[in-house]
Amino acid sequence: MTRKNKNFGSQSIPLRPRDGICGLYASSSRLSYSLSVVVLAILLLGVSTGVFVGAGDTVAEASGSAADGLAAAVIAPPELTAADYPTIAGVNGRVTVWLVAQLHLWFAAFVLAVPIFVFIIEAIGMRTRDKRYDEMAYEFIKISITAYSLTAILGGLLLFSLIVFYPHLFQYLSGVFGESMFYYALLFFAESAALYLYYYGWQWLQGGFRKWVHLTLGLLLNAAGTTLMFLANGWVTFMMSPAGVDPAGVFAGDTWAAMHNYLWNPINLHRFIANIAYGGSIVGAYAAFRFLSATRPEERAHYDWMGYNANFIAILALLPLPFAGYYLAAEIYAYSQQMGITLMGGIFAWLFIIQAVLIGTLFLSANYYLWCGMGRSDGAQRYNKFIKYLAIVIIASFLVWFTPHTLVLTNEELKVLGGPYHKYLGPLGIMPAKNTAVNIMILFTALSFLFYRRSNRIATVAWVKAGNTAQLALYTAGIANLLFLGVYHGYFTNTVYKVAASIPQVMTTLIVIVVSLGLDSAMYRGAREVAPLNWGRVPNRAQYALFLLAVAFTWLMGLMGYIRSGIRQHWHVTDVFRDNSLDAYTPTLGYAANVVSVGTILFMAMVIFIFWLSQVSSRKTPTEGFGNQAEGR
Amino acid sequence: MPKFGLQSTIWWPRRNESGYVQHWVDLLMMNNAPLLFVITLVVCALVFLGLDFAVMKLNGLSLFYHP
Repeated sequence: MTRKNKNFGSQSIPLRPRDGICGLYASSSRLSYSLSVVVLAILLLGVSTGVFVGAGDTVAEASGSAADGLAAAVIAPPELTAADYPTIAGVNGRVTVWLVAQLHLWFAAFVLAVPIFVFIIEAIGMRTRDKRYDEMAYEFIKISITAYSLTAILGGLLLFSLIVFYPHLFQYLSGVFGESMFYYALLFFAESAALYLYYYGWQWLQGGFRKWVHLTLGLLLNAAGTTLMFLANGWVTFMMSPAGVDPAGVFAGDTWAAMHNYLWNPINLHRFIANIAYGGSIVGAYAAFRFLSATRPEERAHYDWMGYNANFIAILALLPLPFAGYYLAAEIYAYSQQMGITLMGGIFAWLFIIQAVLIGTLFLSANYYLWCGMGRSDGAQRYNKFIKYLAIVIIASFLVWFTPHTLVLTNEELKVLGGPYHKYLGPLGIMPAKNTAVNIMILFTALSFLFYRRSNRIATVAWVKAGNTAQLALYTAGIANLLFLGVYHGYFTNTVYKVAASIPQVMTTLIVIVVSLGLDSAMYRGAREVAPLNWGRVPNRAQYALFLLAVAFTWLMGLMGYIRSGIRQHWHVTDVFRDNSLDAYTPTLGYAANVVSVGTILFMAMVIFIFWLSQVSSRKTPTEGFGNQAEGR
Repeated sequence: MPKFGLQSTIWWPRRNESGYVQHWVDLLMMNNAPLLFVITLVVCALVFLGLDFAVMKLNGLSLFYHP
């Protein structure tokens, strides 16, 4: 069986039906996955119905009457003391729950995202009838199958950790959300069923009507997965911005009100987009891993193509991500100014500087990968001269993006500086400068992509010159508008204007990207190829950029996840359920960063293990003379 | 020397050697990139200013504010 691919030149890639992580690996993973899924779902069902934690213990019955179910019950948060938090074998409960929850979230983000873009890639393959897309989608979903198993195992571990270390909090939450936890468990079964059918039925459900059935299964899988995430987001955001409870935290039974709390949708949107970017970066790291360990040129070509697509997905989702993040932060401020100031004006502000560095790393590595990838084309030299300017602008924006407003200074340094703000760099520390910088960074990343897209093509339409002129004018006007909004409204008006100006800034960036891509698509319709793309002709350092992307994403999610959770400070549920454990304090930044870094290393080790499994599964050891059949009988 | 009057390409479309119908818009676009750049720039700038104005208006603010 061979795969012909026009973009691979004259090469053809031998494929086995069970190449890659399928085969041996699939059968072992199926067993562990089934078991972990079933165990976790049963646990969740048990918890939601109060079997394991006795959800009724902290439930104060309304007017002393017996509850007719959760809806009729009134649930109040208990007042705890340090003695109410069990210590087991000297293990720190907070760090355990922190690490396990974070690991679960990393894997969950990955396995929720992969089916989204797998579904889209499969649909593209179906529409274009290009087999390459179908095969790539299949390989992507194969990578996520082992991760599903780990997600379920870590989910179970998180559940046990919460029950063991924070029993009263868990009782309260399962009292409020028992109903949604029940549906969560049922949905988990539905998602597993859809995933099994989607993955194992891939080759069976091919062609014509069957392909439609398969695509529908993919849709169902995504619907179940996304709903699962939305449910869990409701529990998390309830802890940040409780709703459906009175000021004392007494829950009267309206689960939807509790679920549909103030920060639910901002988190839903932010996580949905971020997961796709994250999933893209992890499969990009997988492709880089396989590229670097490949021995045959065909393999390198294949994994280079896969890495390019993964990076494309990551960039596509990364571009709107800062806007979703800004929206979330704005909603946090709107919900509670105190929480917002703790977030970005207090101790956590310094983690935002690290966040800025990591986001800059993401943009730089994604752009660097694109620039390296232009080497695949013989026509790229036409655009090489522009790359240095793109790099200068992106790096300058990056520097503005992470310039802090104030610095940690000694008294001597303060005297020398003449105050907490630097004379020239101080103004770059406030949000209008950051907003302008990130919008320009996003625009230039889109421009990098435009150059990459053009590098191997020659436009044949009559209006090329006019099209290029219009593109140039569009970008110039867009950047001028970003600067006008950022500088004039940011520095010469008041705060209301500063905040309001960020909206047209975002819209300007989006308009420029959409119009420019539309114009470029029209310009390059029916364009000539310079020469067939040389997939695999890319330096190894480009693959390390893909690794960097995955690691930076992971670390960033860990840090920002900690911030999101940490802004509740000494509250389990903000303002209604106080945390009275010995750990009810905000740890030092160094300590928090170390915990997140340990989590990142653990996660990356698990991910590398998954990648390694994919190689092991395709290896075969000859057993001449070992089995009876081999004796020539 | 550019022609003026009714036969000028400024006013009337005409065919070139390849039989392609040239309109004054085509000629402007293909032969005068700096002019096209300026025109597009002005149009885009107006569109973006319109956008800024609309968003500010929706927020109850004016586009130009003098504290």
